[in-house]
Amino acid sequence: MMMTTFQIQLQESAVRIQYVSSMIDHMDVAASKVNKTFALAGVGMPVDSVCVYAGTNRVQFRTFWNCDSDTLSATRHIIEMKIDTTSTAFGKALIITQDGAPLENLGYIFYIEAMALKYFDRDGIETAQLADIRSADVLFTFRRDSPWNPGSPLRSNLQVKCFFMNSYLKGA
Amino acid sequence: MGRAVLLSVMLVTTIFATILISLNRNIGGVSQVLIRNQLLKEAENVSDFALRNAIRNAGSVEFLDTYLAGGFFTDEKTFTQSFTNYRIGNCSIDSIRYSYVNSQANYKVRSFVRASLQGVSVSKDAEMSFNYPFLSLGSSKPNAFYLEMERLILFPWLFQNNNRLPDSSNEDEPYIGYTEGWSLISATIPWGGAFSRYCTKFNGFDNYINVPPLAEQDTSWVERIDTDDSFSLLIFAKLDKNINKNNQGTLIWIPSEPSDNVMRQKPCAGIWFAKSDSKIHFAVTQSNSNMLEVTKAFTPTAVIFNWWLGFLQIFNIRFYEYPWSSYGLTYNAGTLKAYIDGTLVGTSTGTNIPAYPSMYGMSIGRKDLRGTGFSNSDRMYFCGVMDQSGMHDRALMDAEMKSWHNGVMSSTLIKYIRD
Repeated sequence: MMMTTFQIQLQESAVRIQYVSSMIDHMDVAASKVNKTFALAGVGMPVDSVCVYAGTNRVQFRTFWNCDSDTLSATRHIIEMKIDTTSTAFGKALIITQDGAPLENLGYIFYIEAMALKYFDRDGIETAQLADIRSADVLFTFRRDSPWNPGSPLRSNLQVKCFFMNSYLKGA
Repeated sequence: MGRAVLLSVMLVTTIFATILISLNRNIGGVSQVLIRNQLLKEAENVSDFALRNAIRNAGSVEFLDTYLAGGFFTDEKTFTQSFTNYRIGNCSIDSIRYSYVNSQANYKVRSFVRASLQGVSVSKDAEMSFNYPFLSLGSSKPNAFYLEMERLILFPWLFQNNNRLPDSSNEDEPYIGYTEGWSLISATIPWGGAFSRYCTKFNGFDNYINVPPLAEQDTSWVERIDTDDSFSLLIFAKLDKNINKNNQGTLIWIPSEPSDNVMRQKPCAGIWFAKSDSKIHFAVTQSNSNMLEVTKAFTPTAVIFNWWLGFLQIFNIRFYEYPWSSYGLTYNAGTLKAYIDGTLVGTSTGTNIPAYPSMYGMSIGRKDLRGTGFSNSDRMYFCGVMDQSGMHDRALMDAEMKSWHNGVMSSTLIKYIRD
C-alpha cells in the first residue's frame, strides 16, 4: 500500500513537472512571437500611419515586412493579432494573420483564453490615438486543463510590453 | 510462496523504475527549457553587440579601406565577414554581412549568432538598415546599357567635354551619352529624378542625348546595340503639356538606316509621342524591314516649361510635382510588346525573325535622321524631362517589366531593424 501511494505521488510529480515545463516553454515562445511581430510593425511606413486598428483585444498594423518569409517586401501588408472565438481541444488560439491569412510559422498560438491590450505613446502615456501609438502592453491569460484534474483548468497570466521598434528607429 | 513474492517484487520494481525514468525525463525537460531561455537571452545580447559593431564598422574608413577597397561603390556590393571561434560566453558570432548600395551611406548589416550549452543549441540572426534602397534594382538592372543621368553637368558650354553621361550597366565596354544642344546652366537638373538625384531636361528645340556606337579596337567595325534577337527598353519621362509645337517628341530612337530615304523613319527600336494623334508610339523594325508598331492614346499633364508670350521658354522649377511615367517595350520572336508604367498596353506580332540590327548608336530626345533638309519638326525633339534609360539584352516578362518600373519608382531609402 505504501509503495503504491509512493508511486502515485511520484507519477503525479512527473506529470506536474512536465506540465509546468511545457507551459513555460509555450508562454515564452508566445511572448517572443508577439514581441517580434510588434517590433516589425511600421517598416517602411510613416510613423503616424502604422496602426490601422487598436482595440482592447485586437490590433492591426501596416508594414512592408513580410512576416511569413521574414524578409523586406515590396508590398505593404496588414498584420492582425486577435483571439479566435472558436474553442478547440487546445483551448482558444491567438491568431496572427498577414493580409487575412494566418502566418505559416506560428500563426496560431494555442492555450490562450484572453488577450488585453493597452497602448502608449512615445512618452509612455496611455493613448487611444492611432497615430500616437508607439508601444503596447499585452496581457495574456493562458488556460490549460490540469493533467491530473481536467475539470479544473489552470490559468497563467503573462504581461509583455511590446514596442514599435521601427517607429522609434525613425526618431518618432 | 517464495515465487509469488519474487514476482510481485519484480512487478513493483518495474513500475517504480518506469516512473523514475519518466520523472527523470520530465525533470530533464525543465532544465532544457530553462537552458534554451538562457541561451536565447544570451544570443540576443551578443547579437546586439555584433550589430552595434557592424554599424560602427560600416561607416569606418579603416574598415572600408581594409575590406572594401576604400568604399567606392557604383552598385550593390555585399561583403561577409566570417569568424572562426569568436566566442562570447556560450555564444559564438559566425559572421556579419554588410550590404551597400551605391554609397557607404546606404547600407544594411546582418549578424549571425549561435549559442549552445549542455546539448541545447539556438541560433539568432538580426539585421539593421540605414538609408538602404527600399527595392534595389537587383536582377532588373539593365545589362546592355543604363544611363541613369546621375551627373550634374554644369555650364556644358564652358567646359570642354563636360557633357558626358556614363553608362552604369555592367557591360565591359560602357556606352557614353553626350548631351547636345544649348543649356545655359546645366543639362541635368537636381531633385527631380525617378529614384535619383538628377534627371535630364530637353527644351524641345535642340536638346538631345547622343549615344554613339562602340568601336571595335582592331577593325573599323562597330559593335551594335543589341537589337537583334530579343531585347527590352525602358525610359522614364515627363512630357511637357504646354509646348505649342507639333514636333513633341521622341523619347528614344535606335536608328536602323538613318541615311536611307525609307528606313530612316523605321527605327530598330523607338518610342515617341506624336502630338498630331496624341498617342505614344512603340516601334520595332524587323530584319525584313517590316515595322511593328503599337500605339496608345496619351495626354501629357506635366508643366515642365512655362511659355511666355507663346515663345519665351521658362523652366518650371516645380516640375517635380508631376509624376514620372515609364515607357518600355520588349521584342522577342517577332512580337513587340509595349508598356506604360510597367503595364502591358499593346502587342504587335510579325514574322518570327530577328529585329533589324543596329549599327548607329542611339538617340534620346530626337529622331536620328541623317542628311540634309531636316527640320526640328522632322526630328521630333522632345520637350520635358527624362531619366533612367536602360536596355536589357533579352525580352523581360510582363512581371519583370512591372518590377523594373516599380524598382525605379519605389526605391526610396529605408531604415529598419529586425532583431
